[in-house]
Amino acid sequence: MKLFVHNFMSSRFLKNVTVGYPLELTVKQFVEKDIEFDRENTIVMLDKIQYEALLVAAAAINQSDRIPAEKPSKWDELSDDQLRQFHHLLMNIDVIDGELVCPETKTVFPIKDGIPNMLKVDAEK
Amino acid sequence: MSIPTPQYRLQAIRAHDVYEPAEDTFLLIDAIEKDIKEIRSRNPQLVLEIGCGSGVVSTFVNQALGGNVTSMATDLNPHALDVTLETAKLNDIKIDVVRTDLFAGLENLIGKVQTTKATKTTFFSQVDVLLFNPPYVPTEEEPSSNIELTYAGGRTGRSTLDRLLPRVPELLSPRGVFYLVALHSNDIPSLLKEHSDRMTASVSMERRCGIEHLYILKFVMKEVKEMAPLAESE
Repeated sequence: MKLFVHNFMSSRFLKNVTVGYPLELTVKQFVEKDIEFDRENTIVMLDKIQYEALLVAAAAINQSDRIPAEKPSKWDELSDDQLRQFHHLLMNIDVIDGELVCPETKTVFPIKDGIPNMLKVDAEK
Repeated sequence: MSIPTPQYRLQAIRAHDVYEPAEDTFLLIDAIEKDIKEIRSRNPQLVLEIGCGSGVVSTFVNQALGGNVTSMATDLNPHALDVTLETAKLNDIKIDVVRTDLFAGLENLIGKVQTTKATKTTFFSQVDVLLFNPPYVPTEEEPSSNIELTYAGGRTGRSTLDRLLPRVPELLSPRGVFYLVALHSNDIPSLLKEHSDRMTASVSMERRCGIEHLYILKFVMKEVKEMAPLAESE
């Protein structure tokens, strides 16, 4: 599971969950891929994401130092090197083993073999 | 110019009760190939397939749109996700998969307005190309096994589709397009009328394959002059 996927995830579909975002993330194992950097594509992706959730994801792999603690005001003002850091977090980090946790109910959704399992029935077992 | 059909390993598909690419799969691929110029002109970034099965359709769309799209796919069946990853790898592309029912757990693909003290940020819905080949065969009983889940659609053949359809306009980006596989017996006229206020629907392709009369329906978001009101959060 790439970290950009975490950005789109929530546990709002669970009963009694109002926000369910961002999901807590624990990473036991991840691999770093080398997906080609493209400035325009990275900016397009950054326009889609929510910064608070990206910070959660970066912290989960102890790579918070790659990006600023505050959301930059304009993506296209960043240098290629700065954007590469975002690209690396969003597209190159592939979580193999870990857990996603609902921030409200603490329901656990496992990530195994790189695949997150968001099935409610499995989580409630 | 014809876009090659993705390679896939039939053995792995058959061994794991994953829906084998069949006429419906290829009709969906044909419909996308027919429209590929138009889809490209929408400048899509994010593709989501719900119920990806073998992953052949997602792989085809990713290849047809070139390297600039991000593909995501969901399925209930864990073997389908394994096979989808394998199909992607075999064709040297990338798909990110999530095991879930429809798109549960991916609600943040849905647009919203986020207000803080200082700013008001509008997040549009994210899915530029949505693909769904649901279990559409009318069946007496609800499905119980993995393989039944791939085709059994309940009495009208629409039990899964009717759970997704109401939520499609929420998911699609303002330039989004949705391709749906349906059977004649699923009541095509009523499907086309669904969301007629927000989406334009048309029959993209139809084909008779044995006893099945298959349709590919295409839904396009209507242009909005002003941003439709979206759910507020935080």
